[in-house]
Amino acid sequence: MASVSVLPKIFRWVFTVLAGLAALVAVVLCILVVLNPHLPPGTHFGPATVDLMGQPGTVSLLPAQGDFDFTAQAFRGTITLFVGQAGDLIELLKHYGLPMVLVDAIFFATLFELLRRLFRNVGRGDSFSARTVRLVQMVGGLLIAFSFLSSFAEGLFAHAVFGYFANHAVITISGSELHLPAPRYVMFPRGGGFPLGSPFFFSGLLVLALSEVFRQGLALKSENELTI
Amino acid sequence: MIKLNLDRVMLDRKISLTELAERIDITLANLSILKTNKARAIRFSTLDALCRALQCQPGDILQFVAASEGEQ
Repeated sequence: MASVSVLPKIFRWVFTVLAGLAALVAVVLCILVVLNPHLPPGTHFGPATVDLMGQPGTVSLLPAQGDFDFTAQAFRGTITLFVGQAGDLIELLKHYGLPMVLVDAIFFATLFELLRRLFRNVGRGDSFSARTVRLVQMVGGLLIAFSFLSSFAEGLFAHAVFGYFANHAVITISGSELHLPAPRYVMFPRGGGFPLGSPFFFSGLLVLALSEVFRQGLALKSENELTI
Repeated sequence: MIKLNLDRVMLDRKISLTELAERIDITLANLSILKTNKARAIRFSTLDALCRALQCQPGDILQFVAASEGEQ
């Protein structure tokens, strides 16, 4: 049997740590979803400098009349997005955003766990076994399934947020006010309704193709077994 | 099926499994697999080494047995 390098061992430990962290994040998010915490009155945030479309901008959430005002400014203040009474926006971000991030965390925890098992097998010199082939196929399937799921979740999130902005946000460009039109349908990002644009989709296809290489390797190994 | 008569040839030559393994430079475990007819295939290089060490022909080691005959 060919000697096994130290690389699978390193990868195994890296994926063990990453799977643990992702699982921890998923548990924290689950608790947040169940507890459904609210911002205490008087909470304020910012103005904080953030990157908006490659330009420095500011974002702030300030208390106002028992609620919050949300303001985002970009292009040196020439474009301003203002949402008065933004408490509902925070609730909306919580109800759509948290489950979306939770799905992401569960996905990454599962992916890292599968990769940990894969590198454990590779570390044992068990690269071409039925278990390894199944693990590679599962990683590919998971990536493809997640590309569809995340595309759908992000579409719903964008629809909800832009729907809210259409009714509550005021955009000012160089002093002129304008209102966003409400989205007429749920827009699926990454490929206009199909997750073909998602890097996860193509990664999944690539991994499934690689699983076929592993399957053929397993067939060759089985053929050579007990040949002396 | 193809049967290996290694045990018979070894007995004729009065050579032990350990000694033969050392002479042809394969592990005792692999030689045991050959001796007990558990091998699925044999390399020409292994057959060559066996014939050289046991001073015999491949036909002395290999034997074709019809399936029904082999089951008996």
